[in-house]
Amino acid sequence: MTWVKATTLEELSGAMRFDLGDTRIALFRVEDDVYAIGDRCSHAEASLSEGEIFDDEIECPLHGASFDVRTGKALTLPATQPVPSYPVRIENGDVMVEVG
Amino acid sequence: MRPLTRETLGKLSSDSRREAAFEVFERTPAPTPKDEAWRYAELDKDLFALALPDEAGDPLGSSSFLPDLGSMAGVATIIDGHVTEISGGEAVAFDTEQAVFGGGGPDLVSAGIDKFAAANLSFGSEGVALRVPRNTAAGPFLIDLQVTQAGSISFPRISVRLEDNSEAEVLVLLRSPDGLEAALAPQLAAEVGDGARLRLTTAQVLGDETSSINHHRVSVGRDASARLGEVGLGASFSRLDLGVRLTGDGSSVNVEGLYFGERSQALDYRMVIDHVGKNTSSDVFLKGAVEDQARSIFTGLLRIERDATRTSAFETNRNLVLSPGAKAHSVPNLEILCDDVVCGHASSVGPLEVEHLYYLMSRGLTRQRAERILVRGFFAEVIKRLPSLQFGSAVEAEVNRRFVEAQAEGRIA
Repeated sequence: MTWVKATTLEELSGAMRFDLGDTRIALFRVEDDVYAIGDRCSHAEASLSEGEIFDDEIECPLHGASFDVRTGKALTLPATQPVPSYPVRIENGDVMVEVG
Repeated sequence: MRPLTRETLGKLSSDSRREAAFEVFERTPAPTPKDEAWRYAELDKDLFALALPDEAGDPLGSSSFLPDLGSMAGVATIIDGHVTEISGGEAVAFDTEQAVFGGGGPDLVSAGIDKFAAANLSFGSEGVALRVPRNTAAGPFLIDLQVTQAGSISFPRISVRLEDNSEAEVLVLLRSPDGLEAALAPQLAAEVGDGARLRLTTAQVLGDETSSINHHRVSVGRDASARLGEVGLGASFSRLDLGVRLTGDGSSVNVEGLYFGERSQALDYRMVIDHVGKNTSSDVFLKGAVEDQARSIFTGLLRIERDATRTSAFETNRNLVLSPGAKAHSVPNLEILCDDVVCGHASSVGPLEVEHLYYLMSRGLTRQRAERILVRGFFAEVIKRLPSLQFGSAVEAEVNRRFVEAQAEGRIA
């Protein structure tokens, strides 16, 4: 397990995608908190970082499935499976994600 | 700032065309919805009472629509009608002298287009001309038009000339802060030489109190093509008067674009595609949505001249009306003077399809969620077709943001 710098807090407003090798991670900023979950929707592989955020929910842009950005849990159909969730910490304004 | 009067004219560079244009300006009344070319368009502000800024204001900061400047071959910034910055592009330099009177292009004033076209030639004192030499490919170029001073009206002039067999990508951005009462009336003339290929995308993201009257004229030479992208998201009143002349045999034009009107916005699109040469083709594809009290107007004329045999021409305009108070006018026209042609048009105005909503809701989506999916899908089709993808993700994000906000404020019904 390693901590990787994904972006800086300054650059992150709303959602962004961060690719680390084959791992696609979606980063979300909800007020002052930052969350990282798998970017690939577990239903039809759309990019979740292109969706809309409502409070702690991210709505998939393609078919409207929503996930809890804090845990990656699938909240509505058509998705039934969760997406992975990654620990995040902020270090001197850098957004660090633990991947591995 | 100076009023639009003869006294102001005397302070600008002297030119007989400017004088002649001013005479037309003085005797032409302001347009009203009674004029056929301005039908349905209610311009309730007197833009001619605004004044010409003496100098450029402070430049605006960054915008999500500003493309990555590092990847641009050239950038020209025009603030309040004054050219403030030009960078990049040596062989294909922007020329400020050429743009005002030397850019060639059609004479909109003696063609009697409207008072704004006459005002542009009378009071337009700065602009940029982009010339791409023959057999070269260049771009992308960004022309960043900014409005920063309240109470101002400015008339930038842009000319784009692609010499034979050249290729260029040009982006035009129109922006101003929200709440700024002002107007922008640019004129753009593009000349696409034989065998040349132009991709031109205009993104209008002006603030909610700014008005904008645009005249674009494009002529396309033999075997040449022009792809024009039109994105209209901002402004209180925004109008595009687009004229394309397919003069060369085998020339083609595609016009692809979208607009999203919110609150009391009015977005007005007028286009005339004139098929003059033989074997020419055109395709117009415009999609829009209006909500709350917003209105949109599309009138498109495909005109096929007598000798324009083997023409293929099509225009499509699709509109979503998302609130009962919103209105979309769509008037596609064909004027065919030649009998060896394939032409068509399609137009639709309506709310979100109830059956589509029902289908999505039967799959477990809430109504609001289903609406979002449908609006997203409606625009995704045209965003993918824009001539350059530089504005694509910003456009998509802005359209979705507007729709989500309208839903949250209960403006969608």
